[in-house]
Amino acid sequence: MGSKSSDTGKLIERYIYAFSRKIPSSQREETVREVRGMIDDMAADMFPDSPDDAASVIAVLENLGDPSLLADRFLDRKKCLIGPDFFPTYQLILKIVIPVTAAGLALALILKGVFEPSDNIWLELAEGLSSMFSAAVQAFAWVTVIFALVEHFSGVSPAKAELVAEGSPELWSTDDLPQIPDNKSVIKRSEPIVGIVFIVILMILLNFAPQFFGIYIADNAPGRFISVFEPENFPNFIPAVNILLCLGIVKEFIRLFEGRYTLRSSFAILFISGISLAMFLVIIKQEALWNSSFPEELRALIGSDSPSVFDITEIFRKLYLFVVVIGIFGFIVENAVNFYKSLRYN
Amino acid sequence: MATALEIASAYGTELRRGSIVLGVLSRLNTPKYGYSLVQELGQYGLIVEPGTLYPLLRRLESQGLLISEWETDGSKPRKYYSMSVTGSEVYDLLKADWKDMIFSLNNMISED
Repeated sequence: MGSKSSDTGKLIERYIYAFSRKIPSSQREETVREVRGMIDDMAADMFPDSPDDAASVIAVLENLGDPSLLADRFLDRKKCLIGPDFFPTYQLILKIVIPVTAAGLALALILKGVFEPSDNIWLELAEGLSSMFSAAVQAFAWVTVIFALVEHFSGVSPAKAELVAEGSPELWSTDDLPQIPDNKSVIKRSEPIVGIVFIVILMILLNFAPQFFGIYIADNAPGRFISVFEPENFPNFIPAVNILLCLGIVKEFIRLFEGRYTLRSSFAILFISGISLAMFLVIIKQEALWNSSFPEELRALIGSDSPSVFDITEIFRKLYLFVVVIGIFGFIVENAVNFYKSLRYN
Repeated sequence: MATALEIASAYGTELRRGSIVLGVLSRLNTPKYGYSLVQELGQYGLIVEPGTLYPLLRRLESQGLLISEWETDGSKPRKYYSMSVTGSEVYDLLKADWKDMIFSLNNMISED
């Protein structure tokens, strides 16, 4: 090697460098040593009289081809983030989630434009488009991360996959055939998809336009909203609200992947909806979440002079209780239905 | 549309790919380094690119069919591969498969 002129030596080093960049460090040293030896042997074999000439080295390296492709052959590993098992569902979800995210955000922006018109509509529009774009990118990223994790933990080893593909009898018997599910136990794909769409829209509105959750008053020119949420405090609740909604999305994903009511999906959903319910109850119990001036403003709106036939604060207290009951009731019904269907129809 | 020649060459490559393993195992009763194996297979008419054979040797080693040892005494350090016990078991099985397949296919194509 020392006898090589510096130019050809440099060429080989560049080739080795380009090759080794793609090899994990644990295998790098040995692989590089082997490739180096291979190049030497090839040059000596193909050009016995002038193995170190630049032209010889160039011919050898070009014969070996693109160093990164050579590295790929050395690695021979599973090289996909989302494999063929999950790819169709991944595509389907992307086709839904991205347009829904963009549309939901557009809705939030239109609401804002109508009820809180700004002086500079073009600036508003540009900001709107850029946040739509970044929300779509985020949606794409999150869906991809979720599917990549599903792929990663779905755990069919390549070796087993190969054996299965060859129909190895020890790994599979007709006992492994799934029962044809009773039609009543099938979860239609549209159900979880509608669920995901709904949650995504809700998430976007809560994140970008929480002020519109309230009552619209057209008392003066542009009109305004009395928000049920305390505008100053609401941003502090956003992370918790998002986690809550993400749990809802995870639940829909379970339903989508399982495709029917089964005991394991029922237990998983029970677990997640239990956490969700607890979080939901804790969140709505926080005084700081609610707009403290909401009852006052509402009273002012109705007309403070009118004899107070009903106590607005009392109504809100009842409304709160109603929401709590609905939450708990929903939790019980949902899980009871899941367990009933998975036991009854399997 | 690919031409007949292109399609045939793609299937030919596929046919050869599996048979290379058999050829490699057949030569590794005694330790050999990568390039000497390229040459030896070539002498038998099995042309394998070094860029294909070296990664294959590594893969067979990681599957436990080959064992290797670095020889650092000579002018160049070289990795010598030879068949492991598992490797020779696999070789015998593969050889039997191959003979069956050749027999069946020869019968079929000789009817033309």
